[in-house]
Amino acid sequence: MTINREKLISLLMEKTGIDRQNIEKQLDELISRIMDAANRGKALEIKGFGLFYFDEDEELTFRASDQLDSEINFSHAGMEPVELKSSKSVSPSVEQPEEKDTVSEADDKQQYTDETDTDDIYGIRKTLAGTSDDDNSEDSQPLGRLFREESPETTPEPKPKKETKKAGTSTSKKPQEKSKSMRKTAAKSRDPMNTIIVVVLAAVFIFAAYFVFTEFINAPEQPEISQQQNIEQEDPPAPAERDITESTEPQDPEPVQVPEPENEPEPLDDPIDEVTTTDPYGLYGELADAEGDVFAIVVHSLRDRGVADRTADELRQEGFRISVNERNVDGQTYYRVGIGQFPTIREAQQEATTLPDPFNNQNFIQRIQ
Amino acid sequence: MEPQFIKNFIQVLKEQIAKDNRVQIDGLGQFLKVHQTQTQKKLDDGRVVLMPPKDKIEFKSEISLTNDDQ
Repeated sequence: MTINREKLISLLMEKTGIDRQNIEKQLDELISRIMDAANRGKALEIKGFGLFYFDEDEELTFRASDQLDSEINFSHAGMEPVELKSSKSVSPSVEQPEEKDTVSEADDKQQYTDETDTDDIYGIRKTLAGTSDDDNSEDSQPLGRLFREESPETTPEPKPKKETKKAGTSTSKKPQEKSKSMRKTAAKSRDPMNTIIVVVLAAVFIFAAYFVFTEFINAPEQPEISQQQNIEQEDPPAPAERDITESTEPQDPEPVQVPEPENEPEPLDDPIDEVTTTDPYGLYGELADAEGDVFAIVVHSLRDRGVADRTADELRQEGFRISVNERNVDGQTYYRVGIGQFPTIREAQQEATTLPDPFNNQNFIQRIQ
Repeated sequence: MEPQFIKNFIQVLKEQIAKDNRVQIDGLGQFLKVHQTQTQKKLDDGRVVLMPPKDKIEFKSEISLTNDDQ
């Protein structure tokens, strides 16, 4: 619908309440003011509306003010240019014609190709082309607040991106929503990799925990096994022996005297007789030759040969079958005082439990033959 | 010319243009709203951007200095 002069005057009358003649008079005055300024090579600006001036083709031109522009463009407020391809990925032949907007009106289409649009993106405004004579007639009009008459050369103003800041309607948020959805899809595409990493880490952690747990469970069994293996291979377990040595050395004289010497002679006599005659094995008696493997219960492991011999003598006096064996552990010579002779490790271990305290706890089995 | 008249004149023009009406001012020209579709645009630095659709005021002038001279 076209609003002609008659319709416009009636609308203005409704709006202002001024009578028709006055409206017509003021409208004519406004038109003449615009034309007068334009004819003098000036641009007449009506604040909040726009700028009238003659362009290079000497045709009256109107440029809407930012305020009017944003108010008219309210349905597209907040929409910003979307970068489709960065400068690196663009090939020279990429430039394409505009895409048709399905909502657009066919009649009013205008190509969006002028460079000022590009400049608007970056907040740059081209200067208006036009001719001018002088610039010193500003505000010569009575309505200086609403009108500003200026030469075209001074009219250019940086065009702020008010449109983008304007509160948008539901349609104005589409680009932002698009970019958000693109980010979401990008994040989703990364998700599988993250989950794989998490699963792998969890699996490694579970295996590590399992091995640690099994080691804790098996820990008590290891000393016996290692002890037996070391005994059978005649490889002295260095750390264990040192501990025993250190702990037993200062106590050497005492543990020897602790066992009851007087209470056990009677049971000793019989085994000794038997051992000397028939059996080379057992806790008590004299050392005897035996065939095959022979094991002893080591109760002392000493560095000094003299101390070892004295300790052995004291134990012999108690009736034990004592042997002193020399062993080299890590370059250090130890003299091990062993009690008894046994054909198997198991028998030696069983007999070791019958020894008086502290020998029943502090001992280990060693092959002596 | 009263400032109040100018403000109301602008207000009426805005309202009518927003309603997709053309406003004819005899002796000046015609104001109308035009819709610009979204377009792809290649910038000088090689980037390709999608320009959003836009409504714009267009002024069809009745006045030309060359015509007047003739």
